[in-house]
Amino acid sequence: MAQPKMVAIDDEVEFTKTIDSFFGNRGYEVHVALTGISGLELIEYHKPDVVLVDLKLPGMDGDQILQQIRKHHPEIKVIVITAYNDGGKTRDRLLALGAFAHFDKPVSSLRDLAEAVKRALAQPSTSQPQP
Amino acid sequence: MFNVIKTTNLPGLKKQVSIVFWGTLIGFSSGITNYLAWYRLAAPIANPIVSFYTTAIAYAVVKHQLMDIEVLVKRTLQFAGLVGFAVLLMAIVPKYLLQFFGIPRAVADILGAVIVAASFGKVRESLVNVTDRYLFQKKYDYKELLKKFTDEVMLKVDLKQLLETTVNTLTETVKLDGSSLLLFDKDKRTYELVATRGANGQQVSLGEQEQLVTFLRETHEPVWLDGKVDYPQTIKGQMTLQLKSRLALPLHVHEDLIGVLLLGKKKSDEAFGKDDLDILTPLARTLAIAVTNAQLFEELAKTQAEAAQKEKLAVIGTLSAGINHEICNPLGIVKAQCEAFLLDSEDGILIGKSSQDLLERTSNIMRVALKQIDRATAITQKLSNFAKPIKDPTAQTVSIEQEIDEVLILVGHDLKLEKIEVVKEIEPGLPQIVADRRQLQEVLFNLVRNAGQAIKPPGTIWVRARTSSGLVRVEITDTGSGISEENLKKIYNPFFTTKEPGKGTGLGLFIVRQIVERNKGRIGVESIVGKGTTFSLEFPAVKASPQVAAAR
Repeated sequence: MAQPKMVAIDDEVEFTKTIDSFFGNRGYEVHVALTGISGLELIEYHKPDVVLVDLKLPGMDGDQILQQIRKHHPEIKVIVITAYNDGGKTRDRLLALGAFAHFDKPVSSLRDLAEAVKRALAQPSTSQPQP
Repeated sequence: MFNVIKTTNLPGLKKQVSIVFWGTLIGFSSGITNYLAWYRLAAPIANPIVSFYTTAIAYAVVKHQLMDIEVLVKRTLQFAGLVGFAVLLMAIVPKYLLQFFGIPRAVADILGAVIVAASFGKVRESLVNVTDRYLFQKKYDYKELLKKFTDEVMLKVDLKQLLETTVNTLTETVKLDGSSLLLFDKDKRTYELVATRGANGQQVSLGEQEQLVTFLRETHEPVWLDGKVDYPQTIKGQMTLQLKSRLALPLHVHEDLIGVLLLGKKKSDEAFGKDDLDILTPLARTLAIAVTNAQLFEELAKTQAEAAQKEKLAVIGTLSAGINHEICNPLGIVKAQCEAFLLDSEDGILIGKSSQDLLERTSNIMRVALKQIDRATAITQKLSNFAKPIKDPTAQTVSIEQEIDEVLILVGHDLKLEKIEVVKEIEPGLPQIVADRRQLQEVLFNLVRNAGQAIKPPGTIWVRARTSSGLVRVEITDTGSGISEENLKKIYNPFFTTKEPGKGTGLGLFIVRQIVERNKGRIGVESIVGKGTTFSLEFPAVKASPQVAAAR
């Protein structure tokens, strides 16, 4: 299998840097963006296998990016990052909208994120997203 | 007389009557002994004892206000003046008329009498004025006192100020050694010393069942405390020693005794008499009403403060999403960095790294963690400062710009989440204003939050501040739905709201306006339905900086 490709979009610079080095250290080709618009450009350009996107972004937000990807690149798995800690309400909504998984700061663990990314890569791109 | 002594409740009357009674009895019975002479019985001690009657009456007049001696003295003086005037006129006028005009004595006498009769009324009036003014100045002052007191006291809504003014005005105008006020404390159910002049630092409290209190409550009558009334030693001792009081006046509102006004000894050493009470009794009535008003006002202010606090907490509830996000984000970063390091170590990714590299990586994690911890701490601090109830508002010079920034930190995240842009336009070098900092924050906070709630995202809120003719003007403009003309009239009413249930208690603008006005500011609003609303605040600007002032 070729080197898996990932695009991470989050306006929290320190978080984006952590994702970059963490997945970079594990054999991924990681491209990071701090805004939704530049994130979409990276997606169009690199055609990643998986996208990590923060829900709350200046300009275009995670919801809109999720919609765009579902529409134009349904094969790309989207993992939405939030910082709500709201007991799963947001997660259920996002999964219903077609997100592959949900990472909630600071509740979720990086290990779980790594697992989710692995699962995303292992799943055939044509299959329906799992709740 | 004996019956009066037996039945009366008024200690003053009881004393007066019993002195007269015993004086009369002893005086007359010894006088009667003179008649024994008819029967050739000698009663040599009788005559001196007769004088006891006069002495007793005199004692009752002077000490217990049996008769209004002042009226007697006054009338005597006026009468003497009038007689003197008439005699003088009659002695001089006819003589001159005879001497210079050759008018016959009899005619001159009649002319003189006519002049006396014509000017009699005028002279009498001026004599009354003169005696009132110079010899009975107290009475004259009293009229002034009642007027001055009513004017001053009725205007005071601040209870503490009202009480202070009362004891000070009374002490000074009636020329007393001191005066004190006890007010009923509903929690302790006692009458507590709340203001005093001349007995500072004393702790006095009277129980509800204390004899003085029950007496005042039931009779509505004043009580003399100058040691001539047989109240239990405890009351007499406490009042006269601690507060040096001579007269206790009840403060009644309907049947409730809300307080006791205690007056000290007069500087002139005179006892309190009927004419004192003529003024002091209505004064006590006025005072009782004024005190009740001030107490109600104080309670209302407290209720309002509590409502404001509730509103604030409700607001924080609606804010929690934004604030939660602002705290979760830094925590998420710290957690991710730490986990990444540990997972790298577990997965063998760190093997072969130089200690220099490892040190640099861990140091970097620490730096990031510290920065993010500070970020989260700042938010919690601002939040808890904002949530704290404002106990004693203190006016200080504040920078509007700084307060706007503080508020935008709290609401900004929420607005950003909702796709509402906030544009700040502050005139450079904006003068400071005088206000309570946290109350000002509360006002700005409410207005910005309302603006946000009026907007159907996306939209914009402008926060502008500039000077305009000695005022600092703040405008908060939104691109929201606007307020209809009909609703514009009602927006400051308590509990008026157009927000859906759960979004607002309706107290927001009601409280905002009160706070603005309490900080000597003004609030205004303009709105166009469908375009948006502008709320404006105006506060007097603090006069130019000290250097500029000095240069003038």
